[in-house]
Amino acid sequence: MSSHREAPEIAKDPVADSTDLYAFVSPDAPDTVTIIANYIPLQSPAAGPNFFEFGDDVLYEIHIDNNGDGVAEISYQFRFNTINHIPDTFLYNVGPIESLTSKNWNRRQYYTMWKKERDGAITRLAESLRCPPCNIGPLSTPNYPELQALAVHSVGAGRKVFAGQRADAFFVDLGAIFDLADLRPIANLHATFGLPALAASKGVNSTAGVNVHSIAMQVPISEIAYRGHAPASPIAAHASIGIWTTASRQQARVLRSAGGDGVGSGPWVQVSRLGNPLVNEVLVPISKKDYWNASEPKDDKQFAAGAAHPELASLLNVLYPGAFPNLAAYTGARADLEAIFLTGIPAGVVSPNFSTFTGKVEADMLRLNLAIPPSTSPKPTGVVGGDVAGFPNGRRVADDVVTIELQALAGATIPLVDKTYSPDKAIADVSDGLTGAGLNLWPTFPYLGIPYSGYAVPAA
Amino acid sequence: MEQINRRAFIARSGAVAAAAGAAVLIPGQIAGAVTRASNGAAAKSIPTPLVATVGKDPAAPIIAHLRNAATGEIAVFSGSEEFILHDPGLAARLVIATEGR
Repeated sequence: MSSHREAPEIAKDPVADSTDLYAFVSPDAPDTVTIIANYIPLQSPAAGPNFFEFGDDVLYEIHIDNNGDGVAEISYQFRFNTINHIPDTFLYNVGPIESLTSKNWNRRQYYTMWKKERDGAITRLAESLRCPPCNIGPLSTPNYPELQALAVHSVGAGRKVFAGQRADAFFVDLGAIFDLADLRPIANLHATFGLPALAASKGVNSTAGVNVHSIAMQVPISEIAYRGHAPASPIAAHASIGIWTTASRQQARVLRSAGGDGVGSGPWVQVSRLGNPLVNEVLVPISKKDYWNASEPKDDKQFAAGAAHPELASLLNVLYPGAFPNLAAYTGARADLEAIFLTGIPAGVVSPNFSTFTGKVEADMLRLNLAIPPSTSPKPTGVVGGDVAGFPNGRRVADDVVTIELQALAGATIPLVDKTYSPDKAIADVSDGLTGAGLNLWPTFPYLGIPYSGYAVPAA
Repeated sequence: MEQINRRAFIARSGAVAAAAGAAVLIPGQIAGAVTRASNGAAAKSIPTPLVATVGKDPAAPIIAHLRNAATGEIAVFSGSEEFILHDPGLAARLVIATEGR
């Protein structure tokens, strides 16, 4: 998955596990950027009696690098605290939750948001902001659209923020990809290791009907742009910024014999990181995945070999014998993937006026060109499909990053850097067979759909 | 085994709880062996004599991790900081405490 359970240790710590990161120029407020960091993967909507919530002992951050050195100029920090307002009941709520101050709502989360700048200055932007409840069902959360709208907070200077449960918009055929890459649309071509042949079929969305917890914010472009000025053109210096999210825990924690959540102390230690989708998932060896999570983008040169010589690309012609001869013969370093993931795409590679290049520092960050306006007819395949407002120029919630990255790994983007290369014919069918059609989305901030209700999902 | 609470730990470490405010004074003979790391930064030396405030919350936990009993390296966590002590004597007393003697 994008980054759901992508490393062995963070897979055991879902509260701190980042799952997806989105960043795009807001389609209905194009002088702002929306950034969404999702955590707590694969939430079954029917989660009572204890519904999902952020970790009070986790520091969540969204980082912005606007000068291309892989170090954050701005970090937005979020800390949560949870209160049982009716401590003597076992119930999450004792009646319908009609508002965020409902007396029927027992266990609630609040959060504080800070802005930390590179020089160390920290500004508290807001405190005691309210999260919405989880979407429980028609009796407990009878008007969820209204509840979630109440949890969109204005936080001065043109900012909006939301933190709480949403529908997971990521779509992927996880069952196929990690069954030795037997992509269903081309499963009939798979070698199958001598086992019975598979039939080609449509993809199966492994994340259908599950929820996540989102930290979403919408901030003015001028707040996060280099030196506070929106870039004049897409190819202006520092027109593109780098974005990533992290979760950290304090270095020491002692559990109390009396129960409860224990006490923490010491420096914050990063345990989860996410920039581009699927990087730690697919490009980093299993023995280094948790180390990658603890590392910083500025040090990603140490992981660059995973992009330059991706393991999955070398496996494709083995798993699909004869289907990828051109890819198999291509032994050079994958400069196309290094550009997409580690430096951004320089101007002139895709078109004269397109760039996501942030500089020579190799750093996994989700890069967004602040001068490229939102598309009026977005295409899920983003830049590959001719829509320069989509991935890998940022990432919108409906972008089909799995297909884009599978095709890129299979060689579709090599011609961008090597005009002599011809992609294999099979590449057009390289996909997990999903398009994102029918995604549960929301038309305005925070754009991810209303979370699936525990009463309604899974359907009987 | 004797209960080791935060106050007792400070006393045993050779530190003295100051009466005024919630300050902890670490005497010069061990303060010179103290380094500090914060937010993942590399540990750095702290000028002596060290006066480290416990913080606004006197009930905030201080957690010590004896990393190497042989060298006496002890990591002490307080607030969002980490202090590194090198005190073989204290390390030995902590080992003895765990053995119930």
